[in-house]
Amino acid sequence: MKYCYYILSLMLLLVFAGCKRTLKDAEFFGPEVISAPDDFVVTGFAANVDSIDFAGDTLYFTAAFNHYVSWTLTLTGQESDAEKKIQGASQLLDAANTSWKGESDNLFIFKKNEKIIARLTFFGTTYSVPDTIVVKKEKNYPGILITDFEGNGMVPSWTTFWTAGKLISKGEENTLHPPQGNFYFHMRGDDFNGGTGVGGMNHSPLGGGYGLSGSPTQIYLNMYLYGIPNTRIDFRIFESDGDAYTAEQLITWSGWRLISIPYSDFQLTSTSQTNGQNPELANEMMFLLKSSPAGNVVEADLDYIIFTNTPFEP
Amino acid sequence: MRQKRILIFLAMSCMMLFDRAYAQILFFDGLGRAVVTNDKLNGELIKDDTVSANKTTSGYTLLDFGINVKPSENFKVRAEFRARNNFGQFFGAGTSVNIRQFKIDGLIKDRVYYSLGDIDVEMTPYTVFNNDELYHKFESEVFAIRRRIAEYENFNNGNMWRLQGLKSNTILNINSALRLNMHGFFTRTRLSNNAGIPDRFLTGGSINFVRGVNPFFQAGINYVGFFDNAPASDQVQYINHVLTGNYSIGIFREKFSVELKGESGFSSYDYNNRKKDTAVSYNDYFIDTRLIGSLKSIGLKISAGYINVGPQFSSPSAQTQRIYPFTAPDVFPLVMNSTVTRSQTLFDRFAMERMYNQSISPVLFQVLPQYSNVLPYGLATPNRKGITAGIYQAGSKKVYELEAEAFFLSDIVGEGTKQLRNYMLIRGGLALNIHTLANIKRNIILSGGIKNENTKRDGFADVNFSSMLIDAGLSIETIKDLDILAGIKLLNAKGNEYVMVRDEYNYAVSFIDYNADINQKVISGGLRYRFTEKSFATVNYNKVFMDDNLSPGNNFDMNQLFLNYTVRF
Repeated sequence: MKYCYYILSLMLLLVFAGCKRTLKDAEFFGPEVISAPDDFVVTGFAANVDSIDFAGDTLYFTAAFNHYVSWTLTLTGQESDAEKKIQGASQLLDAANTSWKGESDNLFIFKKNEKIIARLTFFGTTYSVPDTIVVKKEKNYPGILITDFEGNGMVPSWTTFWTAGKLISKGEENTLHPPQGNFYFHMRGDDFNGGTGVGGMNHSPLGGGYGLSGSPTQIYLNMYLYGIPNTRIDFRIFESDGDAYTAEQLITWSGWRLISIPYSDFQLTSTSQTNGQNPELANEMMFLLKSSPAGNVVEADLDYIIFTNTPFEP
Repeated sequence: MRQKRILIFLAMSCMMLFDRAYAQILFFDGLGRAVVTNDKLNGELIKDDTVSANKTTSGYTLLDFGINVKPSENFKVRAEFRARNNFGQFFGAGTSVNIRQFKIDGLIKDRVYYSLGDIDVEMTPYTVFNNDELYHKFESEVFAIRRRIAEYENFNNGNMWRLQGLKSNTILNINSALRLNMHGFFTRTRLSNNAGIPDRFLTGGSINFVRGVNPFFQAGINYVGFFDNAPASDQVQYINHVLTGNYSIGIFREKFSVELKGESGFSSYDYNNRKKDTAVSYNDYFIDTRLIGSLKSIGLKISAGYINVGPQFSSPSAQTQRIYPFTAPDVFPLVMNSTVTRSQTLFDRFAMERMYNQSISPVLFQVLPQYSNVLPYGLATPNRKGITAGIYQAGSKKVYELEAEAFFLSDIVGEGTKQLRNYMLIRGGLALNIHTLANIKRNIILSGGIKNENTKRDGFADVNFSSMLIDAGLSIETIKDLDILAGIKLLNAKGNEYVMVRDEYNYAVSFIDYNADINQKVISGGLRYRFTEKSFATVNYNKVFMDDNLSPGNNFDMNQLFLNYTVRF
């Protein structure tokens, strides 16, 4: 009986001894918030250029405030809906606190020739200052672009295949608002007989391969994927030594989503031989559209398929 | 095909019901409900709107049919099938049949209870606790009927979380005065997609020593772990541990009792996002201690205490809110030519069935200050310290019940500034059984509740935000079993606040400059006829007003006729 008390007392003591606070010396939590006072004035808010080539240039803003305040600079693409927010607390804006190279905070990528509205806002006031910049050239993202369905990338054309009677619609489209550019690839089918397999898309093997190199754990296949729930996509990569690898994604959402799959997560298909994963031999890709559970109308739309060494971030 | 199989199984089960031999091991329970609503939206919000719907009639009929198989005293299997037909779909079109829940219960050696399948789990307010979305203890029965439907549909059973897995508990009597309560569970809250997102598990347990005689003594420890089963190639690896100790020491006499009770503990958070090559970890702790005195002769209980919950105390299963703040309401989800999601109102938050959140989130939801700003995540709300006091009294013969509770709190660490916010929360109410007081045979129940919140901060980022929620309700039994129900809810929220936006690690990444001058009103009235204790039919009319004085273009009112027939068996 006494042992029970001893054990429990010891455990309680350990609980209390474990109480540590990581933030105990912090002055405050989160970014600094200083509201703009009533007499607040902004002078000289402007971008360093009127148009920007994100392939090489850096955009920044200048402005001077008559008080030290918290500010938010929101950059919104007028066609792409891409948005970037830069926040800070200072008495002036310059290259040190507002430099931007075209990245986006949301899924969307800033487009060539679109206008970007830059809006500077402050806490505690409705005061805001706008400016406009034009994108001369969109950002070049590091990686091996397979296709963006705008005519760029290693694979300019794709073919589709369908189980008899299951095709509803297919092809490059611009109906939805895609995350990148204007076009994406659309596949929609009806698994009327409950066979799960509906159709798919692929391309001819590339003679020189995709040019991948490095460890399979450090290569990612990325793409934007739009679908309707109950759709499953089977991604397949083929290597020139005869190996075929597969990874699946069940679509549980509506709308666009960015998918990044490590090459090492691809599993050998049951019908394939095994020489081990050799990304440098990868030369062909296939996307299979499936119904999960069986018997549904399924859809997948793909955009901006790119291999990267770290998961893609727009 | 699947539906046919289920129907065949149900039919066979019903046939077996008539066999007396099976009646010993097979029994049925369930619920049937028919709901019809007719809604209309008016006001500035849909002025010049030619696309969004402003009138709708909807509803459904459903049957939840529970099949219980109990082949022995110590073992039971329960499967609940749901057949549902949405309003307007006849002759089977649109009818769905599925398995709603499934559970196996058992008892090993008459000592260890276990439950497998769809289980409900609750521990302490700092470990596993599904907080109510708003203070509603003294709301009208006309609102409570709607709330109970939403809770039933979303498996909100008290403050328990509905999870899938295994739980078990046992009580060991060490001697006549001392016993040991042990409880544990293991559940999976997320399924791996086999493409970078790993399985996520929630597990926990508690051990409590209880000395049941004077002086009463209880002490125990509680643990909850929330973690990913992530191979090295997966995108994220998340682990969160919460370990707490609880105690209660009391003297219980015939006329009075005094009890000191509390809970303290810590959390350890670790999140590794391999996709972004970032790893974040932090620790924090909380203290909650209360002194409670009671006078049994007058049913009075008074309490005073101190709480201190660290700014990075992380306990997702106690901090996840019941309603995701940006879920669109079931009715009129889109406005402004179907381009904008309609904001949730007080009415939506207790009446809409599809708005409730059923999953535990490691990231704290964004706060909606108009509904709750002082303790938006329950007692486990991070970054709060201060004192609390309460009073509770239940009148003799259940004539009345009243309670009041106050929290005088402040930030522990400033949010975006060195200045600390001060918070005040006072809530309470009264339920009066007039029929008992006046010795009338038919039920007459009057109830009223209030919640007042104030938040203030000085300095360069000053805050001055207040809200008031008022509830009033009346229930009058006219002829036997026929009740007139009436209720009103008022919400006023005014002032400015900086609402924290958190990233995936719960770090504050920005603040939203939130300004409000809102008045919401819900007025409801109707009739309820009780066929039995568990079965009833209601008809009521609801009038909802939303006035946004800062943005009059958001003003609207909504009328809803609500018909409901519920049978439990």
